[in-house]
Amino acid sequence: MTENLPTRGQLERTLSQRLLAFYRQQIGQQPSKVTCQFFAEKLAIILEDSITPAEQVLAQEGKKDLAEQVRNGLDEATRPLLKSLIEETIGIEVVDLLSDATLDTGRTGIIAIFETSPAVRNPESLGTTRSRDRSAR
Amino acid sequence: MSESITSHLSTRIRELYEHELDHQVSAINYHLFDQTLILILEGTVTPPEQLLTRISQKDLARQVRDVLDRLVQPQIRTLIEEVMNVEVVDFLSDTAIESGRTGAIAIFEFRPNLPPQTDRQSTSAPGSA
Repeated sequence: MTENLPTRGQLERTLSQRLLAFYRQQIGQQPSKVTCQFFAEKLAIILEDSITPAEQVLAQEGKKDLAEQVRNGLDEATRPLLKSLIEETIGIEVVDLLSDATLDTGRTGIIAIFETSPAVRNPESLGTTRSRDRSAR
Repeated sequence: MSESITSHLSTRIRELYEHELDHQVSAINYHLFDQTLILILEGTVTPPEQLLTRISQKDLARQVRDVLDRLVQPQIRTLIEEVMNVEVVDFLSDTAIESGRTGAIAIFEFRPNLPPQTDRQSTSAPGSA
């Protein structure tokens, strides 16, 4: 059974490729680099050069607040589609999707929290979550 | 990351939330890879924000959260730099009000030179310091 599953690396590469196409199609800006990293039931995504030329111009012309509003609007608009893309690629529901971008560096960071860890051929590579709540005090 | 570093960092972050917002964070989870540190903080949303969300004032709760995050996040960035002795060149963070979860990504100038350990992922709950 497990031999049919992708490895963690394969899953991360597939998602990276789909994310490149996603950003090119949705906002006309293909990031120069995408890094995906699973750890247990969480996924970190880092996009380099993710800010559009229009936002860069706004920031350079002293309209940084407006550039941030534009970025927030783009994030808001793409969030449901991004969530669907991740869920379809990984095959698990995303329970939380957190994202932020820095205009100065052009970097976007995304953290997806899943219901469970993804099904991969090498689950040991995902690590484990050792979470405790306040009642463990 | 070594347990001593996560424990120290967790203590400092908890103190920060208690000092600035009189609020206790329930758990902090870390994951280090390459030049990147991921932090997941559970239970960061304060009772007033939770109440605003419950009474359908989510936009207002979001505005409150944006201000609180602008206060706290730069200080977390500084704490990471102090505790891990490495410069953070980018710090990205976001909070989901419904779940009370904050995620942050710290990008370092260099991979930090940390004591050896066996697990790249660690979790710190209150009282573990």
